[in-house]
Amino acid sequence: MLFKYARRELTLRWTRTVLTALGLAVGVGLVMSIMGVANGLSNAQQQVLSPLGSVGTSIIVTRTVGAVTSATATTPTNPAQSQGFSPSGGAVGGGGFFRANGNGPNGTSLKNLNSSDTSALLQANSTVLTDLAKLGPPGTKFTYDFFVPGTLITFPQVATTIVSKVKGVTQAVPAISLQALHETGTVPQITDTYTTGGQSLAVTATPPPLTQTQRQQLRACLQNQGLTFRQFKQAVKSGANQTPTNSGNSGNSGNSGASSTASAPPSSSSFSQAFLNCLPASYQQYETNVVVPEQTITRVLNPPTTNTQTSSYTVAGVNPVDTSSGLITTNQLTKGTWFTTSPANELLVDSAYANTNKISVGQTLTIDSKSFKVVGIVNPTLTGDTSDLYFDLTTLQSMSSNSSRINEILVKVDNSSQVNAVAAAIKKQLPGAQVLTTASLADQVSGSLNNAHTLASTLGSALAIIVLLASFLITILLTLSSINKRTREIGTLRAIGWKKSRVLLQILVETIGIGIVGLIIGLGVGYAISEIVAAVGPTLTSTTNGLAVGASSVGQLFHQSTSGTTVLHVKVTAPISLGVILVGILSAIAGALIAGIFGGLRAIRLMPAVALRDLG
Amino acid sequence: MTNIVEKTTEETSGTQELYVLKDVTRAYQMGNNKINALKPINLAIKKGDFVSLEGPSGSGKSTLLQLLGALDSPSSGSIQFMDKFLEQASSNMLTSIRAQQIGFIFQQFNLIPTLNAIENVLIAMVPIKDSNSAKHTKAKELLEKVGLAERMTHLPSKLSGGEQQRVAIARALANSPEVLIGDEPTGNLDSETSAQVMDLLQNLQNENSNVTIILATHNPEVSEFARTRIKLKSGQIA
Repeated sequence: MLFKYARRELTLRWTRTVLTALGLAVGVGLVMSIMGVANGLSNAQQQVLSPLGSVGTSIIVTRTVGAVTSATATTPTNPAQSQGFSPSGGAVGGGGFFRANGNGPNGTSLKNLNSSDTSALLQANSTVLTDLAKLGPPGTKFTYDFFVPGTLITFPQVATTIVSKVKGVTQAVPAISLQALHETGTVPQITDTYTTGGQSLAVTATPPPLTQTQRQQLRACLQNQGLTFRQFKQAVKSGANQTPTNSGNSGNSGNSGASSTASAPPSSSSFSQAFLNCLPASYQQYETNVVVPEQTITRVLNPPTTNTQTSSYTVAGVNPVDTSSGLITTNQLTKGTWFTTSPANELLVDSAYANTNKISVGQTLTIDSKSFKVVGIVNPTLTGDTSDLYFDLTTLQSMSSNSSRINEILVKVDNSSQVNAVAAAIKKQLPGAQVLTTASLADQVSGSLNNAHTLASTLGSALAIIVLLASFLITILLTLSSINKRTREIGTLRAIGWKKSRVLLQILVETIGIGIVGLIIGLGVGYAISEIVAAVGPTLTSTTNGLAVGASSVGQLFHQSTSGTTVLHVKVTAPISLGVILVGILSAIAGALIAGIFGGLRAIRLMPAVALRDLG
Repeated sequence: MTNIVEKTTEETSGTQELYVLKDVTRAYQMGNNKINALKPINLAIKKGDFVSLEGPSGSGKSTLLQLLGALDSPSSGSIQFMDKFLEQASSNMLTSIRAQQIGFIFQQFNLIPTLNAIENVLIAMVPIKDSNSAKHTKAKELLEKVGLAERMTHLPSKLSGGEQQRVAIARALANSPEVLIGDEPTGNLDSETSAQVMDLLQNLQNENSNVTIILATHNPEVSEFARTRIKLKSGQIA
């Protein structure tokens, strides 16, 4: 009788049923939509943060600038001092990335590792300087790819092993993310033209004295010419007196003197001529070495015009063995295959980069003069580690002169509740490591997406409660109105002996029936609104700011330049999940029960005597 | 109280009185005014009697009917119904008494509009424990007795006034009550139908002389059926 009566009430008085159910349905539908939108916003936020979540990575270990310390500080000799290492690295007596008091895997001394680490860091980023002189002779066409860690400082790969031994860590996957600079061009010919000479030089030189032989030869020669030293003396004397008169005919007298007898003293001019003729060859034609004074010529040369073109892209090295965890996973493959067993010459290409550059699977790319075959296209989620090219870790390490060095460790944790504890433990093991959890990453995402999500979760839930309460109120009022109209009926039931509890039960069953109708309509309303939101839903933005190195890990992880800002556009949907449906069902039942209790209590307060009254 | 109960029990033992009312009053508080609907009334109704309560509007006959029907409790005095004192009974007890020992017939018939004839009879059997099939059989028998064998699945809106009142009588008889209490049972019926309903009631009593019938009415034709006529005026027996 209970259900038959309730069914009759609901079906025969269907307008009232539908009206009351609609009141409930609007509430249920709106609550579902609000929850759906909140879910949609959560999903959108998840999408932004999905690179971490989707690969099951809970923690990312990178390195802060603070961990880079001078070579002198890396090897503390006092074990007691090293015990007291500050986790921040470098603050107390040293700053190695690794705890110095202990040995690394395979018995490697971590102390040595610290010092080699330091020198490696000093060289990092230096390779990017293009020395044209080293590229080859002028005219040589060159194509080079430089790999630099950029904002993500590298550290020895041994750190991965250390991290993997931290309690609570399921898996630690090494990765290296680098910025690549591609340069092509021709080595230019550098020419410079200048003219020297035209200077006046005054040089004083002393010839060497005549040798004995030369003197004898001179004397003999003079005698052959008919000259003696006596005559020479006279000639010098008379020449000195008669120089003005003799000068006019000196040529003639000289010539005649040479052929004249010795009785007539020769003139001084003819004597000089004879003397010159008799001098040794080295005196007749004198040679000497002259040192030109040193001169420094400084000229400003304009740099040569080069046709060097640079373009940049990002690369990452992933361990081909780690297919389910790391920067990319096999799940993210959209085309082609994962690295094969010989990954050295294989590449995975980001789908966006592949689209832009029209790269397809099977194509061969030349990078740094080496050929790589594109084996697969991967689609890393919206943001996150969107390197353009993914190499085999070892290959990229050797190409970028980062042998056994990485700059990211992606850590999987046994239990999500342990994330913070594990992060702290890693920090302790690796002083100076920046340990980033997904939660802390989420905090750094700002923009309307975040605002909307906050809005949806706070104001939205308040709104949902208000809507639900309003809907409950409407349902209660309609139920009470219905009870009032049935005063005589309920009074009669009481008069013929129905207990209060039985009347209450009857009313409850009826309102639950209305609740079910309301739920069905409400689900329809909820789905309809969800569809509308999906169709015309707003596009929200997410801004991630890359701040100074070390200050913002988001910037690092998103591979942004130090001042870069990434704006993501995420379309909001309002998905109706099982949880949302459950909330809808619970709302409808709760509404029905509340209305039923109000209505039922009202009903049982009616005196059975009202059945007798003439209520018209 | 205990003394009264013992005394009354002694007095009534062996008698055929269904109701014994002693100094019963009923006052209503209407705002600041106290309305004495019933002034002290002393009354006894014999088992198997056919009683009419007569009097103009406001004479207190409805109030008295409510007290007799265990729908209300007196302001003072005692109402003995069979071996129970209604003024001492709890609300649940009164409900139980109504369910098992009293049948009601109303002026407006008061059928549940969404239930058909047989369901309206069955609804009165909800408080009693019996198998559904037994209840169904009895409901059918009752409807046959009131002459509605063909109209069992009709909704009240498809029945005439007389038919509706006959369904109501069948419902009132559903739990084999000691007393049938009617408030102007023919008030909404034409004279011909009224006569049929009154004949039906009289026939029922002829079949089962233990059933007491108490009707409030100001229809002289109804009063004619009564063996005991109680006239009320201003809350007192005239």
